[in-house]
Amino acid sequence: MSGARWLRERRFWRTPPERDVDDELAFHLAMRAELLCEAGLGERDAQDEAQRRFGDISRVRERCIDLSHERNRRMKRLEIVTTALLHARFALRRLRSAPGFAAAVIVMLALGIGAATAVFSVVDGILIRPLPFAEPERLVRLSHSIQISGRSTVDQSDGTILLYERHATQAFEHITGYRMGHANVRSAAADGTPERVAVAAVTGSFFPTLRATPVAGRVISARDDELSASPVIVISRAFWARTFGSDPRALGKLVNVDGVQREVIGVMPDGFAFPGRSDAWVPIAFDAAHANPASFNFEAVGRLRAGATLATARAELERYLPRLLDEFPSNIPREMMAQARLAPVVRPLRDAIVGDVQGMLWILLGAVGLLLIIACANVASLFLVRAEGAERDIAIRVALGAGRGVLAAQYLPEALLLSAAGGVLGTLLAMTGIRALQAAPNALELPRLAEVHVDARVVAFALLVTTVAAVLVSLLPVLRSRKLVPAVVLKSSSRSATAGPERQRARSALVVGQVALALVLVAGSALMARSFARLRDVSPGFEPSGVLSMRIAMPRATYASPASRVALMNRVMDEAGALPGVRSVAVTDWIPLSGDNSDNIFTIEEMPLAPNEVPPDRPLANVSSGFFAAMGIPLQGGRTFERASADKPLAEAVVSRAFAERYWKGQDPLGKRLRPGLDGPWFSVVGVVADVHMTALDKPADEIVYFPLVTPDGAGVNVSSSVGLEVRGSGDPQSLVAPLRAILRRADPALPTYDEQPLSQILSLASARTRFVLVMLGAASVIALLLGAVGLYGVLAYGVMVRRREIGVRMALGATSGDVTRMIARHGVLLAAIGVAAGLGGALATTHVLSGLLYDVSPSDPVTMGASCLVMLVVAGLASWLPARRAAAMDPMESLRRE
Amino acid sequence: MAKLERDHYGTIELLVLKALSWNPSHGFGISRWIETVSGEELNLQEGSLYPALYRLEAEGWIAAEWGVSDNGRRAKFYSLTALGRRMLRAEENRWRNFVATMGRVLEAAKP
Repeated sequence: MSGARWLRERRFWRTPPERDVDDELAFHLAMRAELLCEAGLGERDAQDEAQRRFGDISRVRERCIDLSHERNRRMKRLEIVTTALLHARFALRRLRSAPGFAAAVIVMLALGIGAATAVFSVVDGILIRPLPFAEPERLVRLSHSIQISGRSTVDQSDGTILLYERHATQAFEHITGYRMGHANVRSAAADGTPERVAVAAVTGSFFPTLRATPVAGRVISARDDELSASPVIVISRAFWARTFGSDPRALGKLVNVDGVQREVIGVMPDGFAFPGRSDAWVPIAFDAAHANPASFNFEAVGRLRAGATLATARAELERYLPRLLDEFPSNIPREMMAQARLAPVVRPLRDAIVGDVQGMLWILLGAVGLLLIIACANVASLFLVRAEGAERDIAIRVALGAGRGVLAAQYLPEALLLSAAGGVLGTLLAMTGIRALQAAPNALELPRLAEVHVDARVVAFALLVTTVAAVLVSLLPVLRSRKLVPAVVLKSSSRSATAGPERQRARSALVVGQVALALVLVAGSALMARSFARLRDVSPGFEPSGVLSMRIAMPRATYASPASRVALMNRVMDEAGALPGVRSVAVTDWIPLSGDNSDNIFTIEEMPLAPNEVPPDRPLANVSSGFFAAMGIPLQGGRTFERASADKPLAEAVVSRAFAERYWKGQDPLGKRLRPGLDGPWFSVVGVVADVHMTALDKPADEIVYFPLVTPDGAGVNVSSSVGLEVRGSGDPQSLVAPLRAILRRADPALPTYDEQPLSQILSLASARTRFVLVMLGAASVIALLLGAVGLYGVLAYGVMVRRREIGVRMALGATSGDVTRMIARHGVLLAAIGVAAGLGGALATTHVLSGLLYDVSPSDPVTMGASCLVMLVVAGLASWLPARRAAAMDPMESLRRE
Repeated sequence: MAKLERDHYGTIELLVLKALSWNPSHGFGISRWIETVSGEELNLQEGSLYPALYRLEAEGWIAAEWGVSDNGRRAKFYSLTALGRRMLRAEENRWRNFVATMGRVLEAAKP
């Protein structure tokens, strides 16, 4: 310390380098001139000669001054480094003498920082970081709102996309349409087994709109999406590596996509997978002459011009939408279109991609924020205890004239060292946590999760958190030192008989705060747990155990005729049914809760639509005869379908109980007639089955119409080309995968199977998000509980230590060990009770943020709140009991004799 | 750091270190010593000595202190630090090696 001050003073008094240099050079010239004079030169000549021999004086002077400054800078740097090292060495030495304290602080900070950093990385990667496109803030997702029964939004039709592309050029630079899908892909080069690949069909303006450029070759251009263009495909880098071994000669090679030979023209860079997780992109040909303006099967993205806003973009689309049926004639009546109130919706692409996870992620960030605060409070509490132990030391320093700055300089390095260790450990924890999250099945359906990683920004966040924590905790002892009166502290030779109440007050306040915050977290996770339990109790309406689900897609190119598709499905079902242990087999074009979606309009014979009324929209599924048996859906009336046959389309339907209740309440639905779409033959209802959650577990059971696999369609028949195979066996469903694959391969080696998974897994994924929030909040609240308990324990244990004399006196005067236990425990439970009361208020005020994530549980559910308080108090009781026991076990003589 | 670059292959620095290896001295004294031992051979501008002194001070090889010269004037005296003494030995060896190598090269009789 004194060395540093001496250096500072010296620098203050030191003459400026200019004067030093001038003096030195003048001395040299004077000495030389003197010498020359002695040798016999005149005074003037001697001075001239001295200067001549010296050389360019002003240049030398300049160089010397420069070098002086440089030297001063070096000295200053050295001084800073030396002082820092000195402080760090002192701090290390002090910490080494208190390893328990150091370890406790580091673990607490690591937990807090680790949790906060992990969740922040996820939030940063998903919500904050811009999308991996050029100027992503100008990209918007275009869709429509609509007012028809069963739907509130629709996307785009080829008609609307063509219309907007044609006219909306004021606000938009580009508009592109695309459709996500899958295709069976076989590479002609690597003649392996066929692969099911996510292939997006995109218009020629797709890549220009996103401003995406390939790493090799070219992207799809406007020429490629013409009807007559030769078929091409752009592939992802992963696809390139997988299929072609990253061979540059892959360009120009042919791959077979659903039976069509396509030429590989380009490779996209890593990280480009829009839309969804696409692995390849093929051109889509919109045929303006045969557009279907009311079939909203496409999605669209636009790039706004500089200066255009969401509002101006929307207004422009709205201006041209009424022209839709003028420019793309269709059989849809205009009045129906008008009644549907189709209206454009423009929202930022990022919001569209991130969707509904936003709220959930902010909630989690809030939760770990609370956790971090609890950890910091705990650390602060430890520092306070330590500062109290060092009271005499500080008092001596203050008495000797140490200012607050010096004290801060003593504690700050200690806090910084501990925080740095905690920060490093926490960052490692966060990295492990994120890796575990990404390895979770289906990545929990979180969008952009693959983009999440711990990078410089996240580390900067952790550092910031750490430093703030360090500065805060290191200031505590310094602030305390203001209250110290050195004379008093030094005079009292030992600790006073009873600890002054104000001593414990700061730590007690910290404990109360910790308990309160922990209760908020516990209440939040308890609500999620209750919600999850409720969701688990929801019967999906089908019996998932023992069923294996698998998908097959028959490309139109090779399975052009419905008969060929029916033949394949029947063959596969027959052979699968003959496998040992298999009880029933079925085919469906809609696997419940799998995300399949083919809502469609329908009409009921006896309820004709009012003129231009928009028809209702409900889940319509095509299923084989064994579907209800294989899925375990009870038949409640009538019968199911017969075996499908291509030459015998069945105009029959089975409805769900909810559907029957809605449309034929109090009547017998059997024999009623309805039809998909607006025209075509009527289908008679032949059966009623129990309700099934087709689209979501947390919504009421869907009103469903089931149709047979082969249905009449005008003159011909209609058969799905992409179906799910459901096989109920007696053992582990996974054991069915290999034999089923073999059956498919025998039937058609070019047909891949995909999405093979037990039906129970599909069901558990349907509640995956609730479970994810539950697990995260649960982990946070368990840690919070532990930290709160440790904090309470620490305060009470320290209290017992400083009150040793007092307790000794009480026991000597006849207090029983029971009295002492009660006294200490009462103190702890009182603190916890105050914290619980405050926390309950906080919980009631904040849990409503969870309401969007809760199912069938009120955010202020009294049972949950009561249980959370009880858990908190029990944990607090345990934490108080240990120090109380120790106090009671003390030998009074021993504790009185000490000190 | 560029400011600390050395010129003349470090010749002046080596001379300064050598000059200070016996006694502390001021700049003029060092200049006189170089003049005496090398005669007119090196033909140095006296001024070029000073940047070398400041460089060596910045490197920590020599230390400076104001004192009083023999004839009663205020003068800046330089002395060798422990580091400077080590560096002097190293530089001497380096220089001798260099001279010996160059000598061998120039004495070479055959191509």
